[in-house]
Amino acid sequence: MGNERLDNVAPTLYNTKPRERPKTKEEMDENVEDPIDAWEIFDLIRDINDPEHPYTLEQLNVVQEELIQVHNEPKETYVEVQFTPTIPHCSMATLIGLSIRVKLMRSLHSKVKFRVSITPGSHNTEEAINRQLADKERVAAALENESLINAIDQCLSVRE
Amino acid sequence: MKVEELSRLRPGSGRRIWCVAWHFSGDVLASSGEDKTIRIWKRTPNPPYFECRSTVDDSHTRAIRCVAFSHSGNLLASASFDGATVVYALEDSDYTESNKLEGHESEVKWVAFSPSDEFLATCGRDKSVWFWQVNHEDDDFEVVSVISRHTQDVKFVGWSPVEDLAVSCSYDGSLNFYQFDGDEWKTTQTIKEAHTGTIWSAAFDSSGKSLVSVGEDRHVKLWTRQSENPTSSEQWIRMASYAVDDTRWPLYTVGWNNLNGLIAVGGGDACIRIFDVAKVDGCETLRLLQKLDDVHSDEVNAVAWNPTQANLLASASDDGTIRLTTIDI
Repeated sequence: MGNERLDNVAPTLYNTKPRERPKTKEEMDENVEDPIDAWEIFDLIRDINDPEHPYTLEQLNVVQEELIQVHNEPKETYVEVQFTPTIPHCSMATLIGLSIRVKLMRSLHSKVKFRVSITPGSHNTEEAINRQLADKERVAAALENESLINAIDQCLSVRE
Repeated sequence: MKVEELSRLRPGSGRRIWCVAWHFSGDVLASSGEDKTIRIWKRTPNPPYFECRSTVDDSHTRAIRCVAFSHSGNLLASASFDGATVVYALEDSDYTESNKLEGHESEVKWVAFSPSDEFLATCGRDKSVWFWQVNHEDDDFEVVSVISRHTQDVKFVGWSPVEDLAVSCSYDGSLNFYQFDGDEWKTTQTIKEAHTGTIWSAAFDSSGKSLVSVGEDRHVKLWTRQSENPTSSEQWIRMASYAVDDTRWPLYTVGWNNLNGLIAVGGGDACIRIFDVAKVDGCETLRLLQKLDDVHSDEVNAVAWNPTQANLLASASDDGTIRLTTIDI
């Protein structure tokens, strides 16, 4: 019965990446400062739970390391995260975007600025959702809504 | 240009400060923010020159987006994400809650008193702008008009300093102008696509004949009034536009100094930019005079020029501080 209400009844599952961070030469060198990179951001958001299915955003290919860009600039570190809803009419897209935002807000230094948006072409109302996710006032107001923050915390909780 | 920090005020909570507003005397400042608290700061003779004299923390249940003094200084109003606008009256040198104005369906985003203090305008997430009239006999507020011309969230509503003329800015990218016809408030002009994306704020000059607006598109735009005939559909036209091209973040706030004509713009890149309007070949243009990049360490949500001390700017930020900066040409 519950299944009939799901937007996407049978989502495709994807292989997950190794947990171990790929080691680069620079990283082994203690004299080199490690700036934030896409892998690190990916590692923060890969285990976020999908609001509908008992899988992580990584397992559903909603988030991918390849869809994360980090710009380490002199005046700011700017992170762009794109996510891909499993189906183009997914009603949970805003909630997923907010969960990613909240996870990054809670994990990153306030100097690191980021933008979360839908992978172009992957959602019917991507422009409207992207605008909402980029509006700090709307996001702030949404995060004062108790039922919404509970739903986000569910997505961010660590599954047994 | 000489820029100096006069003072940095740090309310205890350390949380995002959404708004700062001056009392007409220039000696009192109100602030509000995410911590649901209004603070009243008074000028003192010694550093840090402003001191928090009172707080109101029981009038709203959610973040307080905006605070505004009436022009007489006798009233203070606050607008909150909890959907209410609260008015406070000055009693024994303290502001105490006198009215709660309810009607907006969801978040109230801005509140402002008309220059005569006869009207109060509010706007919000429910896409509407409300005009309230003060009944001075019983100090009550009555709804005069509810206008739903915007198709989205209304972020800001502001008044001309010289007459009962208001402007609103919206997520829908348009500006709306309003005037009172003696009976109700009417939309006198809508400028669609005034900006690309959300318009966050606007400010009039001292004459009420020019307006600047700022938005998500990182543009500062100058509008001037061509006609005072309220039935003319093109009273306001765009005179100049300045693209701030060294940021990727929205411009959130603008203040037009009514004493010296300087324009302060604050944005998501934590910078405050100072502009003026200059005549070039007979045309008015916006000129960037200075970029202040070390006033705040996070996004700037509000700027307010002191109404009596021309060189003093107050600003509020996500970094949890209010800064008082002196800016001399």
